Amino acid sequence: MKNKLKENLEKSNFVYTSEISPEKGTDLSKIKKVFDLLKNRVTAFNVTDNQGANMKMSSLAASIYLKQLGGEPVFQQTCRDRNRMALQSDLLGASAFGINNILSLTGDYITFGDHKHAKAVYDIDSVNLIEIIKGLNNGLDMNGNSLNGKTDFYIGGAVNPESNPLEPQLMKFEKKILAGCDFFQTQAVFSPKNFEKFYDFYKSYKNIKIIAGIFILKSAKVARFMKKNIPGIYISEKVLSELENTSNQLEKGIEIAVRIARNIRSMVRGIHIMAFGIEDVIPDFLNKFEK
Amino acid sequence: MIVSKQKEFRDILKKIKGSVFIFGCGICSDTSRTGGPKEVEEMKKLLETAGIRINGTYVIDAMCHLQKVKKAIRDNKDGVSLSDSVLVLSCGSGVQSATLCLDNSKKVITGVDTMFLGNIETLSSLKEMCSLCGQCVLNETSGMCPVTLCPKGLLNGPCGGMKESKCEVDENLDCVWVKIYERSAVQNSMEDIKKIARPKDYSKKRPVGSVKFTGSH
Repeated sequence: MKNKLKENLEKSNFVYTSEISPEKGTDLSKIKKVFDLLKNRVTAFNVTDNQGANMKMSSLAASIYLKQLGGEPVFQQTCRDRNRMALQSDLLGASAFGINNILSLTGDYITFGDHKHAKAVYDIDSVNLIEIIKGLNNGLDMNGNSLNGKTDFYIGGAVNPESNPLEPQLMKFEKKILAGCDFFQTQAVFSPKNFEKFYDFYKSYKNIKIIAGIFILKSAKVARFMKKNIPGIYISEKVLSELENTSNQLEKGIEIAVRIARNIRSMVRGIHIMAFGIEDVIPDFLNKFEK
Repeated sequence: MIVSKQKEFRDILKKIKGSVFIFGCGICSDTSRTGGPKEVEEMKKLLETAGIRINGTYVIDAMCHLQKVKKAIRDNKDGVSLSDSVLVLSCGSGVQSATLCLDNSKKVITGVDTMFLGNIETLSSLKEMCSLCGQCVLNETSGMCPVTLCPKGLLNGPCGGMKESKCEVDENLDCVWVKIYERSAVQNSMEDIKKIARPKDYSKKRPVGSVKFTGSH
């Protein structure tokens, strides 16, 4: 089956991916709206999995719907809500419906979201999950049992290039490579200088495929909220004051995102654009970035 | 030690039927300040104020020890047999010792919630460090337990939410993976943490933990 993300990354074409967060509810119209808006601009859409530990429509179901629309999903799976059996059975289901990109994630802790009293699962972690998917691609479940019909996943992992300290994060990054990760999507990058330290580490890896996360900040208020509440996000005071000292904060937010993306462009194989609720500005961002 | 905390008094009161005998535990519950001599005496007074008849109290030096619990029940048989309910101020293990040692007609009530296996940092500070998982990884993680000290129990390194060496779940909590990394670096044992750790084998925890020894000790 055709896999545009894989094809483009293997050919070293610069790729764009973006994000679709399924609704809290059964309404599919937002997925279609974002898809229609961006289908000619991005290669694939990450479909988030109970993002921020908030209970939403399943990422598998939403990925299948996106596929039916003609889109290419990157099915996100966190280890927070499903044990090793549930993860594998959803992977088989995804593959049967032609989904062939997957992003393996640990998952934000349960207390960040709207089901704070739930049991967090974490039966396995994101490194183990990559190994398991590799096995499913070879026709075996994690216990070595044969599958009647194997998967064909292009396997993604996450990395936080601004993690401080960086070394323990790099250790995990290397384990993901070892486990068989095909590509990486990074946490939102706000400091190209920090990203360069990460680049210095990975540049010796031949043919490594890093897609950098770029977040379009809507306002200084959103930026402050993210800095305080979103795990692993580092937004500098400089970026915050840039946003605060302007009459059009959204315009400035796009400008900052374009600047960061341009600064790291030569170090990466693509960018993953996150706009959380303001997807309609992504075409404008891309026009400015490509200019 | 097993760390416990007292249930809300009104919730304990709701469960009590008739007159009561109170058992405490002189080991962990004493240190936890939930079932030592002082707390047993305080509970007795509170219940009496609420109009409950107390037929006796006794602090056993280890409520998890079935033989000691049997002896304590024998030594207090008048008070215990007079009572409709037996209130136990010890961990869940100790409460079930009482259940096992008393006949089916005796209502056993716990007055505490059992929290965790804790280290005594000081007598005022108890901290969870081991989850009793049955597959100790401490030899691979330079003596610090990610199963317990990482809220996600991650075996292969920190998550992306660690910030300035702190945990995403609680900014007062150190990321144990940063600590493990630092200690492993000092000890030149990085090869241990760089190997991919396999998922845990939960079959080792089933069906119910039990050990039987042969021969004498």
